[in-house]
Amino acid sequence: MAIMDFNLKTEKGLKDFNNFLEDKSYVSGWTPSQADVDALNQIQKAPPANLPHALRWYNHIRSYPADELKKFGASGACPLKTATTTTAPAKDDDDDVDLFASDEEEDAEAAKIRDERLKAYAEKKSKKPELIAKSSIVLDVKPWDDETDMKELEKATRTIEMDGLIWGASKLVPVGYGINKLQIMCVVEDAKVSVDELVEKIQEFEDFVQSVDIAAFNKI
Amino acid sequence: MVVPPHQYLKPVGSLLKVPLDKSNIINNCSVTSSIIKTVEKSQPTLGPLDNIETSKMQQWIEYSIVYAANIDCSQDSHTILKELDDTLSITTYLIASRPTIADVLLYHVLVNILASLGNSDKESYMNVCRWFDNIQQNKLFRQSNKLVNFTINYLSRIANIKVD
Repeated sequence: MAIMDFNLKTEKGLKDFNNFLEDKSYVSGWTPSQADVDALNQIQKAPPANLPHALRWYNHIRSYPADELKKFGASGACPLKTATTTTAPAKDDDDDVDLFASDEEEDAEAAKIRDERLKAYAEKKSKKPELIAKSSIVLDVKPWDDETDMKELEKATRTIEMDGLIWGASKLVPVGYGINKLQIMCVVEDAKVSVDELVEKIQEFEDFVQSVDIAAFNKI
Repeated sequence: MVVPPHQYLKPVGSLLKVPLDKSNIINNCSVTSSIIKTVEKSQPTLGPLDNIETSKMQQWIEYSIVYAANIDCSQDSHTILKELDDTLSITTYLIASRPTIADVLLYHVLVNILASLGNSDKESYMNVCRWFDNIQQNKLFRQSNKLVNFTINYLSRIANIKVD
């Protein structure tokens, strides 16, 4: 018989209890027993949602009517266990009353959890299509010669503003003969930004830009 | 692996003390309704108590026979087990707070798949394993099947605690 030494009044005890129940349906054995009832009496309110196993067990044991719960106690073959309950019947009764008084609270809690999940799900759902429609692009912007002011070039590039276009990090990559090219990242929303148009716009800075290439193009 | 119907209907039938074979099923139109009808007669504790439970039971039995019994690739088995794992993460049994005929049927449908799982797979479907382990402890439900071993879970968890 698995003996429970979790202090269910503390958060840590509850957490250990949660881990303990991970692969068990009941505190002890394969059917509800006095051990379950004892543990239930120790827990005043439903375990939080981040302890799914404890919560599942709690809801399960609580789903039995009170007289059935008492029966589990009586049929618990272990005499020691029954003895401990008879010593503190008053306390048990109190807890029983508490159990049913907290019904509403539990409902509110369950509703809250459900709401949270729904919200999380809706968020996930709303994010998904948005993510699909975005691309991360790395552009190579090449200057005319080594005398082109790369800082000005970058500044000019970043002045381009389009709906759905976000500039990211940039760096200078040496090409040879002291010439650097500007590698700049940007994230675009496919539906709003045409990449060709963006490239053309950069090439319009004829003073600085010789050519623009797409170095990398990734859908996110 | 696709589970042939007799493999799960025979043990369920012998639990219900009625041979659930083809002839019976044809008489009663569908496997689902014939299972529920016979369970109400011979093992009322495993049957539904009200209409909600009846329809849940129908859905689970249908699910077991249509989906779980027709797993033919590992991708399928992953999908099904994941689904069950999510469902069982918040409940102890499929329906209500007691084992029902739907649990027993699903047990017999899944027994070979669960037995073939490696330990790491068992870990990832922890809730299914807990449920399965609990069902298989009942000799009436398990019948001639061997117990599937889940004890490695304890060991690995003890190991984890020590690492922590």
